[in-house]
Amino acid sequence: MAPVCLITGAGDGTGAACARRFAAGGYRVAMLARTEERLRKLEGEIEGSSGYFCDVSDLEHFTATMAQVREEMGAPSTAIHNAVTASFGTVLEADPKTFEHIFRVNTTALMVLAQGVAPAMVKAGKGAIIVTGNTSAWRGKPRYSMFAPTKAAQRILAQSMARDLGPKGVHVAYVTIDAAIDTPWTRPRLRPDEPDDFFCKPKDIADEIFHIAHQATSAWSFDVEIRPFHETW
Amino acid sequence: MANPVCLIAGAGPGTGGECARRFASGGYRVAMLARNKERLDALEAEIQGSRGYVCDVSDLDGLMATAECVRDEMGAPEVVVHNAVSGILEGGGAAKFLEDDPTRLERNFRVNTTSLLYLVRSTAPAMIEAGKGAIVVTGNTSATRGKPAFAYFAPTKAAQRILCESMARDLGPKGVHVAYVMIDAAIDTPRTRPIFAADKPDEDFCKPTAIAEEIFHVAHQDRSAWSFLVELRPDRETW
Repeated sequence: MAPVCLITGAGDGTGAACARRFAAGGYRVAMLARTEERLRKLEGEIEGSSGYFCDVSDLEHFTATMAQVREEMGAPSTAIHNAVTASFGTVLEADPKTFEHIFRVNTTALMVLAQGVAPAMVKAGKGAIIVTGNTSAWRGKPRYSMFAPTKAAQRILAQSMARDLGPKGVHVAYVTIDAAIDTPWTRPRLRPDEPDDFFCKPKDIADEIFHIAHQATSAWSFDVEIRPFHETW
Repeated sequence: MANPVCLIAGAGPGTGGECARRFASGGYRVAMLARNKERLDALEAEIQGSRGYVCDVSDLDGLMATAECVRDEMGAPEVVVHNAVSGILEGGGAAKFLEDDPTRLERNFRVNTTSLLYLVRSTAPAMIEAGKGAIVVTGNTSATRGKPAFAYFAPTKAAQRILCESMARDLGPKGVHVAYVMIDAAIDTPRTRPIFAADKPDEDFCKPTAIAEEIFHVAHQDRSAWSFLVELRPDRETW
């Protein structure tokens, strides 16, 4: 039986590209997202994939959805936490009410994901949990006051999990993407006129994630940085 | 002119209480926020010009009301010390993070991080108007690394540090100094001592008086040479 890969935030960008990459690599993919229509489209396109309507900020529903995936498809041997939310503005300008919701999606949901998928991985003695992040996990710029703290928390949570689960055979990795990702929704907002190679391509990110999920146990990465060749950093 | 006001959130028996003493002896009128009224009463009686405000910072509306009350009764704080913390002791014991209640993470986030956001939104505008002020936050090494037993705590301190960084970059050019003090040691308080190592010698612990001295120093650095990250550890700490 083909292994199962669970992906949160299976949208237009990295999440969908991961679904395609893991399917091509022999996985049956469970895709969680909030847009029913997009899920149905991906299901139609990707053989052996199943879409699950799920808002990960609803923690109980998220837990129930993972149970449903286990029942219908089997326990995932790989999980990718790609669901993300954000709001922008300085501490004084931003809406402070968004802060804890952002933390919930980016960070608490990762804890819930680990609780849902890690026990079976530990039992099997193998598995991978990969989290997609960005440079906000490392630094707080003024306009990222509502977002960067939650990504920093997410990375440190992943690190706690990695240190605990590693010796049990479960590989946890954090992929810091230092670039705008080329998706239908980022492109018009960020730099519509930039050449293609300004952006990090979801397909290439997915290739890296697939690679990390299959590293030899004697040489695992925790922090992985990715940026396009001409990004200033 | 009246002496400046220093607001301390988390004025307990350790670092917070010592900061209150240090800023009072440095000429401040100190507003102390804590949950424990008895302890606040004792500190108030001991420290001249200080005032205690019973406040649970996890109640954000209550926190905003208290900050307003401080402004009305004492004046706008020129220095804010955010020392309230949740999860360091019990969160430190969460070795089985796979089985614990994930919303515990959010409770710690509320006290350690969200309350800081709200406190700064309430106090920074007056500092910006005055063109000066200091916001000092006490953290620890959990802000930079996630050990397994700290899965419910470290992420919230990492978030707190990055929030401070974001604030520091924004408020610095407006004259407001934001600093993050990382204490890499067990602090010697009546609460921590029995938990960490009752039989260890005094020298293994970071002393609240020494930490308060450093916080006072950081809050008064010359603006041409401000620290953002300040690390503190006892001489003999392994790191």
